[in-house]
Amino acid sequence: MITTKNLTIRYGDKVALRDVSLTFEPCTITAILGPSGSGKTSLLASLNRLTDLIPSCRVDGSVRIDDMDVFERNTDVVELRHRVGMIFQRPILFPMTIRRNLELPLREHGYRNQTLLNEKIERTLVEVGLWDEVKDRMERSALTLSGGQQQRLCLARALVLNPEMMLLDEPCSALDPVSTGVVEELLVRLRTKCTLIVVTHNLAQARRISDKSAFLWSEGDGGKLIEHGETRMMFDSPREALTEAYLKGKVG
Amino acid sequence: MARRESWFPHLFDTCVWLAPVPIAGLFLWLLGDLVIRGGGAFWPVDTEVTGIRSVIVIAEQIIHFLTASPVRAGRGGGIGPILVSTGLILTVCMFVALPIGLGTAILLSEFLAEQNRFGRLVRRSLDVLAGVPSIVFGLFGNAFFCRFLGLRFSIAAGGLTLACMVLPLLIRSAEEGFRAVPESQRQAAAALGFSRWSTVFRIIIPQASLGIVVGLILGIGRAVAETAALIFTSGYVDRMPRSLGDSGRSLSIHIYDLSMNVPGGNENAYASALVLVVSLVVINVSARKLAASFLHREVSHT
Repeated sequence: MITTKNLTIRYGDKVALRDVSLTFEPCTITAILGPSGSGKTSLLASLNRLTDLIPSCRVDGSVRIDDMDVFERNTDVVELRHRVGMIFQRPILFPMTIRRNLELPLREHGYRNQTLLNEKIERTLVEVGLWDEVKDRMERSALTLSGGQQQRLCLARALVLNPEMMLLDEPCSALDPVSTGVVEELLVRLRTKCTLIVVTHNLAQARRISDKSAFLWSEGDGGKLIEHGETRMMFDSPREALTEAYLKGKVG
Repeated sequence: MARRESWFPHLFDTCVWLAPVPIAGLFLWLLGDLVIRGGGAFWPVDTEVTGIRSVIVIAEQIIHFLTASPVRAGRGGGIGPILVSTGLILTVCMFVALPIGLGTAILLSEFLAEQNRFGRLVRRSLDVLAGVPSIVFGLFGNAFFCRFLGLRFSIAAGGLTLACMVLPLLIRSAEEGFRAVPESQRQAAAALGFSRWSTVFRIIIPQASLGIVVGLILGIGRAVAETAALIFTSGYVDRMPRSLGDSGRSLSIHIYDLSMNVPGGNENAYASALVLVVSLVVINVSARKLAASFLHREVSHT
């Protein structure tokens, strides 16, 4: 379970996220909704401390995963990122063979036995539905795959480490409708063993796949949490007027 | 308006296409000149030899030239010891320059933000150093390596001085290579739990290998061409060196000596220059091949 409490994220003087407190229940899909600039990506980046990569970024408040404080100095960031996987908007594959893309994270985390590696790789590719498509081209560059296949390979690469949580930043925005459908189906299947947090601009997608939703909105001085709850409830009878306006497409 | 638009693009195109011609032409003229003037050193003295035998004799002469010691101040004999000295100086230079150069490039591009004060200072210093005339490096090398560190005129001192000259080129080029790797690669690696160093060695370096190799080739090119710096540090002696502490003459110094100080040494000077240019081409090709098989082997686009 992930909890954020009074989470505020600043880049230099600019506030990207202001005072957000949320809880993400295990084995659920939560959609993070909101227009551009509402801090959705910053929220996601703070959950696996990818904010460390940006020198001007300052995080106040707390993020806890079960009983671990994410931002505490002693926290093992490598271990954290083993438990929390991330998928980006555009598929970012290494310019290496398909096999190497999947092997490298495993080797990095200490798995050396080649048979075990091959097993894990095959199992994960089957899970994302890519095995049949790539089993004969494992030694070819991952960059020769189509957009949808690449994103699924990114998912496989993250899943091969068996994470408990997956952070997805608009995973289907660069994909065509058919690939989007395949990925969405996969995310729903993953829910049984993973907690998924999906940032999305696509309200229909949020409605299709998520159990819970959180709506962020920024007036120019940092994204604030306007409303959160069960997706169906939020879409059918939103509590806040702003939420209703956004969901109906009147603003943002 | 219509008139200008119709002929200008064509003129521009023609100029652009013609531009490489003088450059390639210059190189070919240079090479041709060296072959004509220096080839005499390899040509069989006995002009009755023809056909296959002449090829064998030329090959023998080339091998002799490359291995024998200079005779009569270099008018005769070969450049064997000089090649050995040059090779040793280059090896010392690379041994020192590569780790320091790569390390600094990694520091500048991966561990320091672009606006970092220290980083900016280092970069500015390197830019200035890249333009410092080699004679200044020679004097510095003499004062510091030869006298202060007590290395005297030696291959070691020469190699170390050359390393100082090669570092700015190597670092800047390698750094550019690192910066050319998209930031997204680092993000993806970080998200997968790669440590900083793993990201550098497993993801960044293979993709930056081209920049590194170019820096290396530029550096070697500058090093091999060096005369002023080496005269003051590795010396003039044309005997076979027995250790790194021995003085040794580099190829460029030998060429200088033969053409300026030794009457009748011109032919061998040209022949030595030919060897130098051919070596540069060989180094260029092998550096790229090595990079492809070692640094770049991880990367696959097809």
